[in-house]
Amino acid sequence: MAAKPAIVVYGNCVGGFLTGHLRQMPAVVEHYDIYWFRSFVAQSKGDEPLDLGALSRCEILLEQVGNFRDDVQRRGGAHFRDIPVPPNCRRLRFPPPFMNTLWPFVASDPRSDSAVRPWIEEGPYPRYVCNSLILEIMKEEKDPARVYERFNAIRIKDRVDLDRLHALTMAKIRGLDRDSDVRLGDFIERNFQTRRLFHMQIHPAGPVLRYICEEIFGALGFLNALPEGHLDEIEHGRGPGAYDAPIHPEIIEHFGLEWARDLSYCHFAEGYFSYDEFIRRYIRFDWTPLLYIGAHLAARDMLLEAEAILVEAARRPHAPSSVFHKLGNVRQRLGWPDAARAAFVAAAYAPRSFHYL
Amino acid sequence: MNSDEILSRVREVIAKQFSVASGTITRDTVAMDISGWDSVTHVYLLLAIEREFGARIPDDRVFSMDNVGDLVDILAEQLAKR
Repeated sequence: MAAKPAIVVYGNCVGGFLTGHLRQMPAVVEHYDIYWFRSFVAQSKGDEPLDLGALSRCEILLEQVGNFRDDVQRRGGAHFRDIPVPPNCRRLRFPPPFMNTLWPFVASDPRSDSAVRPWIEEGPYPRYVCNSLILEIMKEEKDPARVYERFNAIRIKDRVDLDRLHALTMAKIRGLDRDSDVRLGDFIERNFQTRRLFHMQIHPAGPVLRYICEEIFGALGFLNALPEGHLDEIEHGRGPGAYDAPIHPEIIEHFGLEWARDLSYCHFAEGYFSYDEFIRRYIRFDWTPLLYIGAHLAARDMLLEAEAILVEAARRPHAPSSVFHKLGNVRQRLGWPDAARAAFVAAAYAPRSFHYL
Repeated sequence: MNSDEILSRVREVIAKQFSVASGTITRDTVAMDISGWDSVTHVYLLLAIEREFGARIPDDRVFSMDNVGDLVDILAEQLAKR
């Protein structure tokens, strides 16, 4: 039997998101093989072989524009767009969604960089959730409470021109729009003050993902192939990424972001935290390594090993309730309902009651 | 301020922004040469550059620079107008 024609998606996590949703359309899957070529590669994952066979069968190429450093380097300097596809291939270009406006102080934190392991590839605090102002203070001040006080005393407007940052951000977004068939600039400008569009700089939230899906799937005539209610699920779903970057209250005030008041922020499997909690935890560099190992094993269906690690984590003094929740989930998957129930009950009595996992 | 002086200050800003040694930065340096310099962080770099020099990079040239030398030349033009 002849191989089916292919839809090839090239891009970052948003490309992966689109690929996942294309694969949920039975009418599309029936006619096409669907491939995702990642424009980035996490350190431990290595490269994926480029399936030239798929490219030769490519009828639809969804190509994310922008220069992806990792990708260009691993292909020896050649960009994906230089790799030939059939001349009759339909090419639809879309931009990488991002927003800097709300997070002016992104920085790599050496503490997190040195904690990178195969089971925590981005480190416990990826650079997008770190804060250069706090790192600056920490060069002089070791006491976490004092660091927090000094950080809180900073007037953000003395350090950064927020309107200029927004103007530069929009200029960049619109620049990428000019290279794309799908344009995000107007949507972002129109909505960012009234809706949560991003969890952090490079991870869009539901409304942006829905917009991108509507634009791309609409252009391809695939919208009717989506299961009913699917776009609503996308809009209200989490989207890619498990880290939120906290938004400084002064920035919330400056842009009048009603939606961002009293927001809670996700810190991977650790749970959701208020702005103050997140900042204090970041200063103290709080995280629970055994929880990450347990989550990593559970994600790979190594449930017995995950359970053993999480039991050990739960025995530690002040183990957070997220550990017990994860333990309960793993025990449920193991088919141990009584033990799972015990873990969930213990979660209620643990130091904090997080509502994640 | 001449071009060399501008380059020297630009190198310091880039070095601070991306935690690299300023000595590794030349006019020919491009974003891909420096870990962490991507399209997202480029925006922060430009903001820091504008703050350092008290000059604004024209909107139509904000993202038209190919290397550090281009950035220095744009800044030199802007500073000469003052």
